Amino acid sequence: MENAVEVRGLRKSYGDYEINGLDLDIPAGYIVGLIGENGAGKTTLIKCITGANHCDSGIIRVFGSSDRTVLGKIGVVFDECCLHKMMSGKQIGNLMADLYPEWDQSRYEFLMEKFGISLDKKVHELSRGMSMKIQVAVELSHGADLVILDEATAGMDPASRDEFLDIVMEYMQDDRHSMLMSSHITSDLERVADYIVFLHRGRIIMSEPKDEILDRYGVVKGGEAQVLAIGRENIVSLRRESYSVSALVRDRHAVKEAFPELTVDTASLDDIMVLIVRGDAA
Amino acid sequence: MTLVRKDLILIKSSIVSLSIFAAVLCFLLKVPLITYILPAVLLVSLASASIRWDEQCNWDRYITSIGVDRNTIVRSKFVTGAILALIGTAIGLVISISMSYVYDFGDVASMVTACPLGFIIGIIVSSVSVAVYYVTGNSVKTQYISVVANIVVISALITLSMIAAEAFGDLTLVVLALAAVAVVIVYTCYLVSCRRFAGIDL
Repeated sequence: MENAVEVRGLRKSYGDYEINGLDLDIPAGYIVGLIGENGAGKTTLIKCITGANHCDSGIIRVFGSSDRTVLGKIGVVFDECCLHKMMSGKQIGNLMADLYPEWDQSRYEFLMEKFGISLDKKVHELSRGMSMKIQVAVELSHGADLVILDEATAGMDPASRDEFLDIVMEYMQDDRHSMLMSSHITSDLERVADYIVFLHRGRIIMSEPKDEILDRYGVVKGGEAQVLAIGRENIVSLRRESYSVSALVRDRHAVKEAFPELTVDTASLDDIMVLIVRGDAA
Repeated sequence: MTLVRKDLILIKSSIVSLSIFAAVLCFLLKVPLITYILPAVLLVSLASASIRWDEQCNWDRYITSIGVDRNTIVRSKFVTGAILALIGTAIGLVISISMSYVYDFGDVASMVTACPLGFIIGIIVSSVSVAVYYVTGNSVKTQYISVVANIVVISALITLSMIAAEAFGDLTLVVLALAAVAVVIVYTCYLVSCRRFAGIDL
């Protein structure tokens, strides 16, 4: 499988925080969802991929090349709108038309209309969610083969997010398009992502197809002795609460089969994140 | 040029207000040399202001991420500064000609010969300010360093110009010598800015 992005041995440190020897692939034609707690290194990783940050060491290739100064191949939406607050939607469109060789003004205007944003409105007149939508409209209108979204849906209401995800899916209809989507709203990733990468304290602790994760992982709840009876080897993480214990298990079907008396629930991405971040490794 | 156009769109209204302010100040001060230089010096301050605005909305992070070369970003600031210096010089000339009808400002030919001083001083101030900004970042300290650096550079140039004017007795020669010094200062500032901006995380 061809990769849109290949990261090998990435190291980046800021004081006592570091990404240490990280490897990551974003397969061409797929959406990779990036999850992790605040400060896990998601934004740093994204900035290193785009070239906004310098890596201490490691290799990053985008479409097979280390040169990231090819205009228009990558579209990026960071966690806050990077467009000038005093510019109107129309001025932004004109600017981007000059900047990007494959700018599609009609698509930009279509997306702006779909998002309900007047081209005459200036960015500072819009809410955070609306200004993020302008940035999304820009990034989906210049023919980018790779779009990177860093918390792009934060600040959007559920209806807008739903509409946004529809647009993401429409963009991904083209096999050449790939996407890296970092989000704390894991339900969005459960809906659209093909792969999930879980970053924890600067290290990737899970990188698997989403469907496999949601199918295999499970949560067992009960008394401590009851839960520990399933064996440490089956438990990824354990969280002790006031009156019960929750365990994240790697293969819920196997656990269910071996311990039919236990209730083994499916694990959402939220469950997995909470149990790994707040629980104790087994 | 797209990045320069973006800067000019953003600072368009400030250009108008600063030009009016410069005109009022020149009419009040009635000093020919100040009239040639002041509009350009005031306008070029917008070049470093545009870097601050870019930083406030993380524009550089975005523009770098989509593939714009960092040196291109730095170059755009120097070009913006040069354009502002040119606009300021033109405004200075218009103010000088207007004032010549009210005060004794000499003939138009000598004004045209002297007005490049505005451009030269303006482009030097702009380049030094931009370089100081890239080197020290956005802080109150930056503004002080920028003002002090510009005062030192401009004072040195004016002193040298006055000595040269007395020695040569020809204003054109002085302007040409200043232009040559300006090229060296601008290029040095550009190299320092590129080097600094290339190494920072955005």
